[in-house]
Order: sequence, then structure tokens, then C-alpha cells
Amino acid sequence: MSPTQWDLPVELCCRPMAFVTLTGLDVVYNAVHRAVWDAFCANRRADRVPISFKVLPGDHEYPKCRPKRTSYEWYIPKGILKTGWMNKHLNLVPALVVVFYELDWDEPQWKEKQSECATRVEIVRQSLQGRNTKVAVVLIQKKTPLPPGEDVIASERAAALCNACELSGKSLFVLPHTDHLVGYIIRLENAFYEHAQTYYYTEIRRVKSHKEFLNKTTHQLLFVRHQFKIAFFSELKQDTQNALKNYRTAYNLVHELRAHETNILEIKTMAGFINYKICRLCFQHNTPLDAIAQFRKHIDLCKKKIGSAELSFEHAAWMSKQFQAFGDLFDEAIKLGLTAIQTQNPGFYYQQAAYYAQERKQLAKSLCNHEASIMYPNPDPLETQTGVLDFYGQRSWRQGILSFDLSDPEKEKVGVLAIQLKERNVAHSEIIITLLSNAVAQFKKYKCPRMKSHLMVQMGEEYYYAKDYTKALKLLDYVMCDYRSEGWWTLLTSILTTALKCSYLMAQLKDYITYSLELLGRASTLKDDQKSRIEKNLINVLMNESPDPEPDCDIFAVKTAQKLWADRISLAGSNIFTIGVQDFVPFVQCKAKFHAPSFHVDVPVEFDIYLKADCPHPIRFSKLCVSFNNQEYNQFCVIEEASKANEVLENPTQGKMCLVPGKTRKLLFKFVAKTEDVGKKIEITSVDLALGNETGRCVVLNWQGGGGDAASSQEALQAARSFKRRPKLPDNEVHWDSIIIQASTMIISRVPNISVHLRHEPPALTNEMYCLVVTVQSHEKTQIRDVKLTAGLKPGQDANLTQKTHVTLHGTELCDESYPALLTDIPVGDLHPGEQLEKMLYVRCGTVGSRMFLVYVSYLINITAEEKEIVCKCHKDETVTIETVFPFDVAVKFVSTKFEHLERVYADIPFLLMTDLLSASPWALTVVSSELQLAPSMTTVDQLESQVDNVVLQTGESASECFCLRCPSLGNVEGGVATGHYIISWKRTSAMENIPVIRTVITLPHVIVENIPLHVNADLPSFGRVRESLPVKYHLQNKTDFVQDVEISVEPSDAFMFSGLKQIRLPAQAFYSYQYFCQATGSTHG
Amino acid sequence: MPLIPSLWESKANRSLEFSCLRPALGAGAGSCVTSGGSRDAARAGPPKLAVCIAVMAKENYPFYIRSTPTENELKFHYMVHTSLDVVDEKISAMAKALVDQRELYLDLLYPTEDYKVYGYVTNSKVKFVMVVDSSNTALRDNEIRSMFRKLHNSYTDVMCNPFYNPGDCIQSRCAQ
Repeated sequence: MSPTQWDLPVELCCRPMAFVTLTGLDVVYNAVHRAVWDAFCANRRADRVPISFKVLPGDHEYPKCRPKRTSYEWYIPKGILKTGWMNKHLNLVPALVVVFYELDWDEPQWKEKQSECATRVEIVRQSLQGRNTKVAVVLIQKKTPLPPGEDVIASERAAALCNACELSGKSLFVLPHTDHLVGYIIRLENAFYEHAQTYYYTEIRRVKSHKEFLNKTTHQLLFVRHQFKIAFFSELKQDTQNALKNYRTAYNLVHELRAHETNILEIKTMAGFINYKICRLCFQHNTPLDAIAQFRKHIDLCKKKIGSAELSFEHAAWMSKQFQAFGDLFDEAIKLGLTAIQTQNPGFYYQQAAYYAQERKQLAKSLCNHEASIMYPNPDPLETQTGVLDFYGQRSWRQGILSFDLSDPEKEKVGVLAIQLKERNVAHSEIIITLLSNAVAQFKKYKCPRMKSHLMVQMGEEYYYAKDYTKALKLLDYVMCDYRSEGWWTLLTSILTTALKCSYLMAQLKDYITYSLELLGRASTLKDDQKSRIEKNLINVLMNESPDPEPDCDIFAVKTAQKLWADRISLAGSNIFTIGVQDFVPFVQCKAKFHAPSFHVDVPVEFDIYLKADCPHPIRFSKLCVSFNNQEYNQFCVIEEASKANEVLENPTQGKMCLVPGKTRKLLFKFVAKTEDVGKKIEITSVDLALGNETGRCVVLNWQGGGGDAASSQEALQAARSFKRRPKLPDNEVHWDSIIIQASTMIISRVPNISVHLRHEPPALTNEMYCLVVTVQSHEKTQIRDVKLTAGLKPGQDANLTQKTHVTLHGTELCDESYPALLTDIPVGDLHPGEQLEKMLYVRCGTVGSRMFLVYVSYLINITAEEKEIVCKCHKDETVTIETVFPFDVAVKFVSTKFEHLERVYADIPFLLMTDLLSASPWALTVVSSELQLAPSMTTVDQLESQVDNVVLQTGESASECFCLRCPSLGNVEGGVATGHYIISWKRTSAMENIPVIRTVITLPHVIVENIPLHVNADLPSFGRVRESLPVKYHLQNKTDFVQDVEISVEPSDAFMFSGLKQIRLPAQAFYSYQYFCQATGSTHG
Repeated sequence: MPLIPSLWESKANRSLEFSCLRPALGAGAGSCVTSGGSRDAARAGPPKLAVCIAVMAKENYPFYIRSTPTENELKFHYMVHTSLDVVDEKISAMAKALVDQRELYLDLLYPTEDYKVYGYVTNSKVKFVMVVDSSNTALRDNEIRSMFRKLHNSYTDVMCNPFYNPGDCIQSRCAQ
């Protein structure tokens, strides 16, 4: 009995193909024969007929055929199926023997050759005596044959040869050895295939013919055997439908057999074989549901057929094999294109196979625990003469015995013992692990992550039983996080317990500590006594001692482990283990919380570290350190409590670092932030908590950020959703759930203690030097240094404003484009407490509109915080919005010398330019002076002195000026003639003496100049006296180049008496002036 | 201080009476009664209705899990946990269907050699899983459905209990 006795035989698992032997081929020395043989063998793809060929010598001895039984009356079968039968028909007994013979139709020595060929056929026939095997002859010819019927000699000689060899014409073939060898070979093998099918058909008929002789009482076994044979022959015939039908019948028949403890194995073996064939064919026919249904039926029927209780492990082994074989079939079908689904895939069968393999192991463990002194029986009852069994599924020590009574109980006992002893040597774990890993591969493919994890746990446990702890740990460690992340604590605890055992047995310190930490934690569902034990072991390990062995471990493994632990102790160094907690759930929880989201730099930064232990006993930690993104602060946040190694559990309630289970411990830390960190974030990057000390072993638990482990985010979410009212606790205690981690804080600058005032007179006037008085007063208790002022246009406004706004400290000179919009860091010296300083700023705004101005005062001050002197930089800013307006409006109009409004002026005729300056400023303005700058085309009639010098205008008041101008004739100018500029120099009346005057230039409008032909100018005295003559003088001036006829008529008013010509006609010369006098006397009344 | 909370606790414990584990009272299949008064009947023995029932949160951690053969609890825990693979798959397939056509009952999740595992999911993605002995042929689809419906009602009752804290494991007097 080999360990693989449960494997299905190869001849059962292969696809049966017609067996054809080729004789007369010398494939070693004859190149032509070799080529023929190669053509048969090479490229046997699915499109070629299913035949298995074999080259044999012509005188090969085929298995002898037993003489035909004429009557079954006295025949009693000894078993169901002989072990050699399938192989015999697959590989030994051919359906067709082909005799190859080199012979051309025009062979000169035809007679001799013909008889030699006949002899060869005869020899083959002799060795096949009694069998229905067909014989065929293939003539290998050098020449290409002529088309049938044309070669007369050929057909004659063919008939003669057939006759000589006693062959039918259908069994004689010609193989011309020409270029088209493969084509001929394919035609040949198709012909062979037909012969083979006929052979298997007759075989089926032959077996069927036995049936009528059988009777149900003594030949029950034969019913199964025959049915199986028919099905098998059908398969060889490639008639899979009938094969399936017959296998099904055979399957039903096998279960009709009378089962007893002695033959149950044979029945199960055969049932398994037939079931395998049925399932295989169903998959082949693409009816996977039929295959599954058959398999289920098979399992249901056989599940309870355990057989001998002493050998019940055999049943489990057989069951396991059934599932495995089906899984293999299923998997193979998938590879050929079948689609499986999540709930129906080969993985389930491998899984079940693994379960039975585990059961086998359990049963073997309990049944095969013989004393070491019991020797394997001699002679070996499992040995047979031939080395193999005659029938499938029988016991070697009672082959062929059909009686249900045990004729020799002693022999039976020895046989069972032999099997049990053999079973003890089976590597069960290996089998189980292989099956499980098969299943894992399948479940991975069909989206079953949890099933995969579960199977991996089982694999890990199996490795543990197989004492391969390294592999066990690897697998368990891999899946732990899946259970942890989904919060299945019972399952996690069970896995951790196994993992702890593995790490104990290997004396893997770090793993041992990690698993202990988690098993003590809140994720563990262990009972308190277990936790206490683990905690004690953990403390022992930390004190550099060996832990107690884990329960339920193999005694020998424990011995080895104890030695390993002892060795570990003597080893010095590398006794500090840092364990990151973010991936598991340790028994200490940690939360860090800054007291505020931001701290001023002059007050100490404060935060709390909350710790809570979940282990059963109080525990003392040796050190706590907090790390920050700025490592400078790390040194301030360390608590170290010197304690002797053995004090870890003593004096439990004393000391800061001793945690009482379930109680939240709050540890306050304080440090002063660096002034460089103002405006930066201070973050806790990690919290390290050390257990044990350097003299023994030391574990450092490392929390990333402000604490929290694998389970805490879920817990926090749950706590947030919860509306449970928490019972009140004493003042200094807090509820763990209510603590929210705050791992970072901002450092902000110190609150300034100065006042900044702005004094000014809004609105600003365009282009003026607007004065802004900044008053800074210190309210600090000590001197402040390095006061700096930044003032000007607040950045971030319209970019155009920057171009049109200029700031200076010096108001005595006008600022131009080169001045900045913002003055930065103007040093203004130091200030004593209470002292105040004033700074004047001048702003010049080129455009109207509102602007935001910023005044920013910064200073340094020395502060003592936590007995540490620090220099703080403080600052205060003020912003102000200032409106800029035009100081005045200037209106300009042209009037005649008689103050009549003019649309246009006349060439060479004097006119008046009137300016009107209306103050729009809310503050009084002083017009320092005004100036008229004439364009070259304009001339002045009299002096252009300013008439508004030093005029003060209140709001709404206006100042007007009048200039008499004349414009010479220029011809027709499009758009009029430029007049010139009017420049006003002004300042605020309130402005100081040294403030420069602002010149505002106003461009005067263009005026249309028109030429006129005749100009009349009346020269009237400004007054007349009653009854005295009043001389009236009219000047007529011809402005043209031509002489003009002028008629003048005077129509005096009734108030005057008139003398002189009333009507005159005269020619007026070009560019000539006339004076016309007339006198009028009269009286005015009222 | 401790007086009032303890009163609350006792009320909370009475909240869930999962009767599916208990034998069917009287004839007929859907006779699981949601009342606390039949605890004696619970000890009366077979035929059991389900060997294991479990309630899982949206996040897949167990709220409540109980199996009748208590000696091999872990096996059932694993079985329920692995069945979530199929539940997840069914839920994601269901998400594509229209809301009002949604069926809460998920049918047979997968059969093992000895047990059948059934699933049910509420609209808030709370999962119920029930493990039934394969040999128990008395349970047809309809019975399983009605058991789930009762379980769902019991669960709803628990959720309606003002003393129950959402997210906590469910306590049942049956389980003690």
C-alpha cells in the first residue's frame, strides 16, 4: 500500500482512445519507416482522430485470451473489476493491428513477396488468437499509384494479395512514399479509426451477450463489471453519450450490491471510479449541473458508508479524494472554457476535501496511537505475490474472498494493524495544506476574500500542527488585519492565540510581545484568567526571564522552546523592541490633546497625554516621550520613572506612569514655543511609551500622530453616533470616549499692547500732499525696542492704485512717480512704557476714488515665560479707508466784450475768457495764484495778471477771472483753435507753511474762430448829461479784400434828439476803417 | 448615581428576543413567537429552527451572533463571516436594481456539506445571516423568509428602544 493508494488510477483518468498497433516498421534504421511513424505521431491535435498508436514487432505476443465460457452457472466472480483490465484495453489489446510491408505493384519477384506478406499476417493472427482484433495490411510503395481502374496489374495483384492474406479488400491499403505523406497518413488513420470502431462495437456486443447467462443471486458483481466494460468500450469507441448512459447504469448497480464491512471498500472504490467517469463525461458534454448533481448524489450515498470503525480514517481519506478529484475535474473544465461563479466553484470542493483530510488526520491520531513497541507485522500482510491487487478495492490478505464472515480473525487483525501503522506515517498536514492552498487559489479567483482568509487561517493552524511555525506565523500574520479591520474580535482572538503559541515555540521575542500586547487589549475576547496569565508571561519576558509555556502545546516542542528561551536570555544586546501600534490593538490606548488649537508665543504650550490600560492588572511603564515635527521640543516632553526591573507590577497605584486598568490617566506637558515657530504648526508626530527597562528587555509602543490604533477610528465614530449618557465622574477624571485627539496646534504671535491712532482730515484732495498723523503709544510694562512702522497703500488692491498713490515722510516737497505706494519698516526707535510717538506721513493720490491704507507697527519685547526669557515680536496694524476727491471745479466760458455769450469768436475781434473756480473741498482752500498760459495762436489784449491771488475759498464758494483776448485770423481750422492752459496754484488753508503749493493745470477749451466781412464798433461815452450832446462814434471796418457798399441808417430812440446823417451810403474800402460821428441830445427819464 | 443606569441596563437587556433559535411552538412553520415568556420551551430541545443566527452592522462587524451548539462556536463565526463575501456580492448586484424592486431576502448564500447559510439585508445594510442544518428539510424558502422577517422586526424593536446605544453589541436574554 503506497501513500497514494487513494489516488485514482491513471488509466481511469485519461481519455480512452482506440488502440492501434503498427507492425513491420523499422523506425530505428529505416528512414522511410521513421518518416511514416513520425507522420502518425506528430501534430496529434483535436482535428485528428483519437487513436493511440504503438509500434510493435510483427511477432509481438498480445495478452492471451481466456477460453470462452460456455456457461456461467458454476462461475462465481471474485471481485468487481480487475486492476489490469482498463490498462489491458488501453495499451495492450489493440483494436487493429496494421502490417506494414514494402511492395510495389510491379515488383519483379511478386510471388515471393506476396507469400512473405501472407506469412507476416499469419503470424499476427496467431498471436491474436481468440480476439476480435482486426488486421490490416499497408503496402509502402515507391511509385505514385495510377487512378483506380487504370492500372490493370495493380487490381489483379491486389485481389491476389487479399486472397493470400485472407483479407477483405477494405483492409488492404497502399501508402505511396511521396511528397504528400501526411495527407496519405491522415486518410489511412481515418480508415484505421473505422476499423477500430467496428472492433469496439463487436466487443460491446460480446459483453452484452454475456448478460443473459447471469443471475441476480450469484452474479451481482458481474452486472457491475459488464456494465462498466460496456461503458468503457463505448468510450474507446468515442461514443460518449452511450458511455455516460452505461456508466450511470453501472453506478446504480454498484449501489445495489450487498454491502458489508468486508467489501465496502471495494464498493466505494468502484462507485468512486464510476462517479469520476460520469462527472468527467458530464463536464465534457458541457452539462456541469449534471456533473454537480451526480457528485452530490454520490456523496450523499457514500457519506455514511464508513466501513470498519478501526479503519475509519480510510473513509475520510476516500471522501477527501472524491472531493479533490471533483475539484480537479471542475477546474479542468473551467480551463476549457466553463464559467464558474462565486457560490459554485472548485474551491468549495477543495475546501471540503481539506476538511475530510483533517478528519482523516483526527481519526488517524486517535486510531493509530500504538505504542512504539508494537512492531510492523512480519510477513507483511499488505504484500501480494504480484505486488498489486487483483481487484480494485480489496484487502490484500483476503483477495477474492467474498464471504462476509471473517475466516481468519487473526489475519484480519494483523492486516488492520499494518494499515494503521502505515497511516501513522502519512504526512497528513502536507495533504491538508495542499488542498487548502488549492482552495485559496480558487476563492481568490472568485471574489471571496473572507473565505480566502478563513482558509489561510486553517492553513496556518495546520502548519502549526505540522510544527512549521515560521510558515504558520507568516500566514496568520497576513490575515489578522482582515479580521481586525472588520471587527470580528472572537475570530481575531482565536488567531492571535495560535500565533502566540507559534511565537512562543520559536522564542520569537518581538512577535511574542506583539501578540501578548494585543491579547491583553480590548480587542481580545479572552477571559480574565487567560489575560492574567499572558500578562504575567509578558512581564517575565520583559524581566529577561522565560515565559511559561502556552497551554495545549506539544510537550516536545515546549522542551525545545524552553531551551530556545534560555538561549535568548544569555544573549546580550538588541533588547529594545519598538512596536508600531497603528496596525493592531494593544492593551494601552493613547490620546494626545493640545489644550487649544492655537497658542500665543508668550504663553507655554500645554497638552495632555491620556493613557488607558485594558489589561487585568495595573502596570507600570518606564518612560513616555512625545516627538514633534520640530524636534527641539522633544526634550521637554519626556517622563521617565526610574524603577527597578521587578517593580513593574509592584506598588501599582503609585507613580505617574502606573496605569490602573480601566482608569484614564492624564499627563500634562508644558513647553515654551520658539519664536521662530510663530505662524507655524506644531504637530505631535509620535508618542512612545516604554515598558520594561534597559537592563531587562524594553518594549517601546509607538503611536503615530496623536495616538490611536487599528480599532480606534471605528470606536470614535461609534462614540460620536452614540447618545448614551455617560455617568458622572469625579472632577479630575474624564471619559475615554469623550477625549478627542488633537495632535497639532498653531503658534501665533503675542498680543500687542500698544495703541496706534491715525489722525487726518478726510477726504484727500487730488494731488495734494495729504497728511496722515500716526500716533503710537506703548502700554507695555517694559521698554519696547525696534519699533518699526510700515505704512501706505494696503497691498492687494487694484494695481492702478499703486501707480497713482505715493507715500513719503517728507511733506516739504511734492512727491513724484518715483515714490513708492507703501513704505516698509521705517525704524522709529524704542519706546518706554507709556511713551508715545507721532509720525507724519504724506500721501499723494493722483486719482479720485477710495483707497485702503495700512499702518503696521511692529516691535520687539523681552518676556519671561516659564522662567525663560524670550524675545517676542509683536505687531499691530490699523487700516483706514480714505476717499480722494477733486478740490474744485473749473468752468471756462467765452464772452464778447459786452459779456454776451459767444458760441464762436471772430478773428481779430477782442473777446473775453472767463474762468470760474468753484471749491468742492469740504475744507477751505487757498488759491495762491493763477496763471493763464496762452496758446501761440492767441494774443492778449491787456496784461494777464492773476486776479485771484491769495483768495481763500470756503466750500461752495467760487473765484472768477476774466481775460481779454484776441485771436488773429487763421483761416478755417477744424475743431477750433487751442486757447491755452489755466494753471491754479493752491493748497489747503489749514496746511502748514512748508507744505508745497499744488499746481493744477486746466486745459482751456478750443474755440471756433470765424472771419467776418464788416465789423461795427460803437464808441459810446460811458454816460451823458441831460441836454448836452452825446457824441456817438461808430467804427465800421471792412475786413475783406474788396470794396463794399455800405448803407447806414440810424434810428434813435425817443429819449434822444438826434443830429447828423440819418442815412448814408458810402463805399467801404477793403481793410479800411471809417469813423462815423453823430450827435444825439436828449433826456432820460427814469 | 449608579441606581438609575442599572435600571436602564436591565431594560436594555430585555430588548431583543431572537426567537428563531427556539423550537417552533405548536404546529406550522412560522410559529416563532417574539415574546419573552417561552424560555422554558427554549430548553425543550429539538427540532431546532436554525443552528446559528447573526446580525451584522453596515460595517460588517457583528452586533449579535449566537449558535446553539455552543461547543463549536468558532466554526459558526467563521461560517457567518465568510458568508459576507456572498452578501457583499449580492448587495453590489442589487444596487443596480431599482430601489422599490429591492428584495431584502438574499436567498441561500451557499451550501456547505452540513449546513445551509441564508442571508437577509435591511435597507440600512444591516445584515442577518442564518445557518440551518442541511438535514433540516422542514424549512422551505417560505419559512426562512418569515423567520428573517421576524428577526428583522425584533431588530427594529431593539433599535426603537431608547435605552439601546446604536453600534453596541446587542444583548439578548436568550443569549445569557
